[in-house]
Amino acid sequence: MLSEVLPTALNGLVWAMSVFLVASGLTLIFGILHILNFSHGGFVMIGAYLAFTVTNRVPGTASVAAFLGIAVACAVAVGAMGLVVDRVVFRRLKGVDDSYSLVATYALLLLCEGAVKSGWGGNFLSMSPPEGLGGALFVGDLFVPSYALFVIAAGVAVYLALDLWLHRTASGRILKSVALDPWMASLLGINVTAIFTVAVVAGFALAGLAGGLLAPNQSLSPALGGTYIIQAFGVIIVGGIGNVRGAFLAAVLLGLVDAFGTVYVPEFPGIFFFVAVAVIILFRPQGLLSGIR
Amino acid sequence: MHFNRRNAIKVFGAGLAAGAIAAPAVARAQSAPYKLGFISALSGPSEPLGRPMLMGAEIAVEEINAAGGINGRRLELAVRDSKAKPDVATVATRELVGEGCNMLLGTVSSAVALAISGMLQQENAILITCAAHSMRLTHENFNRNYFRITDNPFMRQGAQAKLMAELHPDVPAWGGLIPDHEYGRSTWEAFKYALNRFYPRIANRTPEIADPIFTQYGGSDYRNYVASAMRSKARGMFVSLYGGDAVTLFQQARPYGFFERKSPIVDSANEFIVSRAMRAQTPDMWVGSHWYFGAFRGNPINDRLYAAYVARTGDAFPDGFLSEGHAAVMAYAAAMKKTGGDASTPAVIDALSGLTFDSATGPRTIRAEDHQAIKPVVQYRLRGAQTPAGFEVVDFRVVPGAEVIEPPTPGAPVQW
Repeated sequence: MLSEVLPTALNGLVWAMSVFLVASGLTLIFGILHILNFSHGGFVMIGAYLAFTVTNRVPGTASVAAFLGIAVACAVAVGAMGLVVDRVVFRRLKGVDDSYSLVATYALLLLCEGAVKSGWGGNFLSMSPPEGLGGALFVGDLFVPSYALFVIAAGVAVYLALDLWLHRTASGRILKSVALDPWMASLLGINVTAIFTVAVVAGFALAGLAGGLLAPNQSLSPALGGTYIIQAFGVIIVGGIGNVRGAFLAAVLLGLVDAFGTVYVPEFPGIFFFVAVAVIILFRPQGLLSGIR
Repeated sequence: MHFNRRNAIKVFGAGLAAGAIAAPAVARAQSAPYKLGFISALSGPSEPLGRPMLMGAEIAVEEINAAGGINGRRLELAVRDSKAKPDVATVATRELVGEGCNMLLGTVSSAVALAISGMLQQENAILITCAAHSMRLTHENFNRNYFRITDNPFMRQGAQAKLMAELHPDVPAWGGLIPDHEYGRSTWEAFKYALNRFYPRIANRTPEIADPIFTQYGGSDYRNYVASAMRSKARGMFVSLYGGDAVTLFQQARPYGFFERKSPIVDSANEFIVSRAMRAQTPDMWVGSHWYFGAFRGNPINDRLYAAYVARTGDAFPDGFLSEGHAAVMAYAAAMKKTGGDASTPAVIDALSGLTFDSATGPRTIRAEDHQAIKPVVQYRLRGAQTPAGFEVVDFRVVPGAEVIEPPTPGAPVQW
């Protein structure tokens, strides 16, 4: 029995942290700008394709350190794209109806898909984990793929970094104050537009980082943008939209529910995530936690 | 009218004038191209499957036109993207029929093929599918306007199970990783049936078949399914996940030692799609295919098709969808030669029923009873390698279709 429970829980956590890595930027942007960014998955995909290209083109990138360095470079590159998107798109969406935001960000997603198709083609691609993360570890009787452990560690690290930034630093507190009341913040002399830009760039950088770190986790194709996005939206809705702690908690909860559901009720694969989201929203429509935390 | 000489001249003159006006139109009708409507997934996740199918159809049209067309008339292809979605496909079908294309071909997805098949009689059109594998198309949902020029799961998985019984008589314990949709379930049904059929006959033992592990479609994490497969006593593993899902599964399975502990691996239909993505990481496995160019060398149609593909793409490993798009056009061309140029729906249906035509896999015969083609079933053994492509074909087998095809039962389900 235990031989099934531990691997299942571990696999649930891998799913949870990979979805959290994608959802963190999404929830951050919504928390500050109140824009549901449908194109987020598209920028995760661009991060993954950039990591694929650099790893395959540049010699000597097989180590874990190089892999991490490439993921950070992807974060920087996609963060820079966020700067452009903020100037060209997001600033124009302030004060307009939500439907405009949905259309605009969906158009951005299509643009991302088109760009990937033009740059890398429509065929499926794949990338191996770096040397050192390609094997597995034995913890007692438990068999754990190294890359799976790495994804869990990366998810926890990103969560801790975000949480520390938002709650323990001056810039994080300013960010939260702008999220709560931008008008009052501006009266206090805070450059609200600059803070919005910081939030967008950080959200996009998190998308690029997620893409770089998760590139070896699944196949790459122009449809990758949609692979995680439904789960990511589920996680941020259940967690309380805009709430990083809530997203982390929801990712863990939904990951475990989905994993145990898959193993113990194998006739209905993949359904438990949706059932859990529906049940939680029914009882807590505001999400597990609310507000930017 | 009093018919005197003056009136007779007027009538004759009017006749000449009408003839002069109508003659070019008649001539145009006699020389107008035959229009074939191609409909398949040309965008979205199934695009890598639909594009080579279109290329195959285009190559066939070019070859036929270069050789003078059919009955002196050229072939023309009208193309629509189904996005592998039934609702999009039905709209596209009506558009094509509205443009005068009563002869349709293509489709990757069974759901799309079933949707179009259901509207063919109402639209007075014909569909030849090139890859859709649902058994229902030629059984429960059979209708006279539908034809399949490729194999089906009964044939494909039958040939695969037969080969495993021949090559691995010492591996009677089998399991499966199966996507939870119609295609996945029907491939497993067919493979299981064929294991029970061929192992006692060839390996002289009864197979031990574990319950299949049903997986999510379009998932990002297959580790729990892999872990379940690892716990299973099955040694041989049948996998019918497709495209990107298969790549993700194999990628996540590798660190578990899946390919060391589960062998042989039988992949239902991924052609070169997985190996092109995984390159040197491609697991050693037998893969089902519509066509493998290396198996039909010496067949002029095969050799020309392969050369045309390489010239267009620079790639050395075409997927079998290429030959199936090509074969569908060849089937229509042969049918219209048989009708003497009559492209009306009833005439073409009659001509296609029971038709034997030549293709890149050799002659194929479309059974008159259920419109299922009898064609060779192709499998090859792939593995990652230090080659320019990153993988190599180690072995291949061609099983004559007649050896593994099911009895025709149009209108009734397959008898497993």
